[in-house]
Amino acid sequence: MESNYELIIGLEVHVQSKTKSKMFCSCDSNYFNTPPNTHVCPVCFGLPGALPVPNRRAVELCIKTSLALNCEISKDTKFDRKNYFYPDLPKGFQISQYDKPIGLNGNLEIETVSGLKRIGITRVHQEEDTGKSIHNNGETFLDFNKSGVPLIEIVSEPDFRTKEEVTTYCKRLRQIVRYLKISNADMERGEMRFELNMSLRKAGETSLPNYKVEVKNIASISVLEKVIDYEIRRQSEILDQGETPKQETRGLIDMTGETTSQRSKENEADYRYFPEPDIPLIEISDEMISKIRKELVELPQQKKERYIKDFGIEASNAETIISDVQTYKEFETLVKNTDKAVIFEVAKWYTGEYFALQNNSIKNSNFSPSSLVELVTLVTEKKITRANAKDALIESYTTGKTIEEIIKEKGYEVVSDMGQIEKVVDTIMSSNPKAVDDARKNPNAAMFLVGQAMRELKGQADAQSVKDLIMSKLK
Amino acid sequence: MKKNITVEDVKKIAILAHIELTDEEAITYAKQIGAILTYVEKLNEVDTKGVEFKSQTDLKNVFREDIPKPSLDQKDVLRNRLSKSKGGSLVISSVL
Ligand SMILES: [Zn+2]
Repeated sequence: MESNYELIIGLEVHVQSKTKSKMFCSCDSNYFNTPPNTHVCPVCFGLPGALPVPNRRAVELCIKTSLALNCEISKDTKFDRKNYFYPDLPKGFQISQYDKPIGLNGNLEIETVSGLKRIGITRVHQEEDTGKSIHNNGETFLDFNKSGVPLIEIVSEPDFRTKEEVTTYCKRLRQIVRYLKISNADMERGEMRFELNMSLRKAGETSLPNYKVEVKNIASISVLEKVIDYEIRRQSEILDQGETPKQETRGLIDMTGETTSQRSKENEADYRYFPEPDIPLIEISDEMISKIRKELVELPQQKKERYIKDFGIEASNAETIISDVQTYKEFETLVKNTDKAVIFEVAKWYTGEYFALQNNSIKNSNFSPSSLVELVTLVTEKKITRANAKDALIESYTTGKTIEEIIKEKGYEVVSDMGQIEKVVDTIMSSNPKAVDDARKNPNAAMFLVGQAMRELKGQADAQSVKDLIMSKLK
Repeated sequence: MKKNITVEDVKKIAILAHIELTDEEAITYAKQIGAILTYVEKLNEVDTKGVEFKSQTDLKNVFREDIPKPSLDQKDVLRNRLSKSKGGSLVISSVL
């Protein structure tokens, strides 16, 4: 971004909770690929006499989210009505939370180029989703299967200063709700959505800018990044001319991130929030909190730090493994009974060779991932060379043969008989007197001799031991 | 304690409710809503000092278990709402 401005960003993230039924009625909450308007009832529509009753599991999941984000839990909480008129909201109001959100004053630590940074979480509250509108040919099609699906809103402080921080935060948040089975957070299905609050200030200034631009309904992290880029350009051009960007809500034109001014949206006062008269107050007991606390699991950041600290796994490998629940579970099963000293090497192979194979080759159904651990152990013990181990892994993955079979077939056993290695080294050195001379003057030149010896040994010796032997003979 | 509602207030409420009003209607409703508010203001005469905030009911923590139950029949949903529907969706003129 332009170096003369600093970015100020706050985020509102919506995640759809993974419940079986809707937030305030018993309609099935799975609306994906369902015929339109088949999961609706008088409560969904707010018909006269309908009584909304909160879904206990949904409230628990909201508490769980709050706990994972280090929030204080409001012991006394309630629902409120947020009033506005839009065709996808037939009730004329959304049941949400206003002044007593379930979670308050939390934080999420994210990794940045300058170390861990704590992003403040203003609030975590429970609300309900709206219906779906599809615009086509001058008509709008309304489907209310999504209306009333539980939605958790996570509001951050304006603590982000770079686009990268925003991305990291969104990814961590998505991992957290997936780790905790709160939401699938599948962005393609609209289960995780973003609202951006953004302004720029001159570098060096410390007070918040006197304007704020809001962009709603951002459906993915990649579009969010594009919107930030677009708004940086747009807002800095205005500021460059000595003017202040208008405080407003802007809409997305398309997926390119370009935004456009929207007809002025409601202010907070226009929503005329008031306590939802149909739902009694909620008192969250310590018992309820401690019961939900027991459902928490090790979160991605903690897991990554433990991998690095306990096993010496490289940070980038650790990040890859923890990024996804299925991946870390497979990895942890894989190394369950593995010698601690080998685990970091397994992590390297797992995220490198093994991932590449998964992406590029067809797996034989007889292949067992434990072959990977077997191979890495052999490499560490210098019983097979790295290059041969790679071949053996590919072979095993695609044919289903065991590592033992492959090693036998291909003669991959490493020559560990030092007598035999020495014989080869001596022959190479006596038949290459010039190379030996060069290597005495410049140790780097010894690599030629190592290469020759390795070729003679058909690659089935440990290159480091061959090199060590040659170096000792050069002295 | 007389609080009057202005024609501008009425117009603002009409915008929020997406209702079109003529100037005459706005004047009429300003009078009528003003009269209702003045009537309701009587409540302010009650001394509420020391009275704690209370919900509409003494009930607390009324929850439903997370068990899905059958919804309305699609035919009934469509019949009950608008005259126009296509492929199970309710159809209105474009709001884009
Ligand atoms: Zn319903």
